[in-house]
Amino acid sequence: MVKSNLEASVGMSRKWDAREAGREVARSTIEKLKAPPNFFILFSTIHYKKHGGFQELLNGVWDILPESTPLIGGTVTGFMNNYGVYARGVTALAVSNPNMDVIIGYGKNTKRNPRKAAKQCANMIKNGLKDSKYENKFLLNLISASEIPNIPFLGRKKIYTKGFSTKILLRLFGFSQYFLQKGAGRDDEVIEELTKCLSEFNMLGGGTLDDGKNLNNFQFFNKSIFTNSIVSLGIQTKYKLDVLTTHNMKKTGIEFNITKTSKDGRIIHEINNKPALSELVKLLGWPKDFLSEENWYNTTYYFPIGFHNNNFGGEIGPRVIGEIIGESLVTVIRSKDSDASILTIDGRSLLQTIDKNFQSFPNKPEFGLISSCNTRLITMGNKIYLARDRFLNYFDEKPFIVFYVGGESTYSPKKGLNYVNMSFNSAIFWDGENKISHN
Amino acid sequence: MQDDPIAKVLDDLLKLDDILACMVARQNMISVMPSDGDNSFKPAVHEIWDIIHRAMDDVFNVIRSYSEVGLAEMEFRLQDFVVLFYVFHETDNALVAIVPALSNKGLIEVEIENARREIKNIMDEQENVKLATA
Repeated sequence: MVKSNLEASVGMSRKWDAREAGREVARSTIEKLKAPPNFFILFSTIHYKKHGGFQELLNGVWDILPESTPLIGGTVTGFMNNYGVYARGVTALAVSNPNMDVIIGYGKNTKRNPRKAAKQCANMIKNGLKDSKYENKFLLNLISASEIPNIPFLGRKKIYTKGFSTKILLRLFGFSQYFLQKGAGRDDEVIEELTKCLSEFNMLGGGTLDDGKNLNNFQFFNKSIFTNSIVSLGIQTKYKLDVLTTHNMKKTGIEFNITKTSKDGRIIHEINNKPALSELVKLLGWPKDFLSEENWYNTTYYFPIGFHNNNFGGEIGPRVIGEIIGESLVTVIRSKDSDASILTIDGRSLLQTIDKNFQSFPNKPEFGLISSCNTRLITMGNKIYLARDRFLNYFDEKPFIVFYVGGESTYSPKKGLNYVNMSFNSAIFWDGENKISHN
Repeated sequence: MQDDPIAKVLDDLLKLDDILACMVARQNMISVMPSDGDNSFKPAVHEIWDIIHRAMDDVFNVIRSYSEVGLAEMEFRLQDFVVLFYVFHETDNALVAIVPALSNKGLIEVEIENARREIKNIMDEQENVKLATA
């Protein structure tokens, strides 16, 4: 057994007042460390927007956190950590270790110009770590996820089927996307660019969210609150690490051809040469007007569209529909794959996804970060505690945080990019020869 | 009632927008209400509270019969509301929460479960104190 001098710690707060919660999460996280933290990662649910605001939450954190500690974070639907599973509150992970170089970066306007934002962020990371001697590289990316568009005259909705023709609605959607930055997250484009700029890094990513309403989400960078941005934490360390995506979704047998899409493949206009929405609803056997704002999660999110993930050996990956604009379907992930199917998953398979993921890591973890689709939390409800038992078993008492987000990804130079929805994505750090035996 | 730690847990739960009312109850008896009683219930639930209360008693009949063999949760929908019962293991008591029928139930369930666990710990501690002082 190798004695590690890496100290990692997880803290949390369930206080309602933003400032008090900020102080408590910082105090409870760093009080267990013997040396000042190298970095501080903060995840909060959206509730503090109404209970003092996120600036106050950060002010509370900085009342306690040592000046100049690199901090990134963002809003999430919920989180799991060593203490429990929560759909309200704030949690943080901090690491203290002398054998580690750390830098943080950001890029703005991800929904308007995702590639420019990625380059801005990548340059900050590259410059900050250019003198590092450590060989193992890791990047945590938190990107503003999709938000419900704000269509002039029609307001904010997930489904726009009335009022104007599909053509006009799509133009108005474009206006909302570009000028208001309310619409598709385009986080897939951000990540693709990042992997080009920082191809030697292992990456874990997720889209910041609110509590499922998709109205707004926030990113944290040191003492600032951002919207429509990417914030990243870059680490170079002597500690070993790896990343892995698993989802375990299966085909339902409903297969079809996507016959017309937007130029970038994000918007599906036609399925089987017919208007996309009507054909999809028919294939699923749902009544014509079945989809609504209220049943959105239990319908579209439970039956994502399967596509061949060309970045990931052509494996089938799930992508969800984020918006319905007339007869067109706006998806979270771009794909020009015409060969599509409907996927689904049951509770047992959701749990097996976790086993499958952890079993691939040969060493005992020192700490872990997991980005998981928020639909997995919403689907499991209070049964999420069944999943938590698996985490406690794997991590023992080592710190971990699962943050529930939208649009999750991992990238490694060996495995390539895996950006899908409905998935479970881990970044596990370990030390030396600390082998684990999986039964 | 004001210093009851279980009432504090209920107060906390009730701060969530989608929790319209909550209490710890058993058949024909509400054991613990939030600190401010039913005054703290959200206005939407007041109109229908009497009917829900009656329906709850019928559900507790079932809970009383089956909690010992593992009945852990029940729910019913009445008009625009869903009433969730989270039974305290092997007792005929439950944490009851009333939520809008079209709420994001998965997330609410996580927080109701946390409240159930917290209340159970308080109940166990109270029981231990009773035994120690008996």
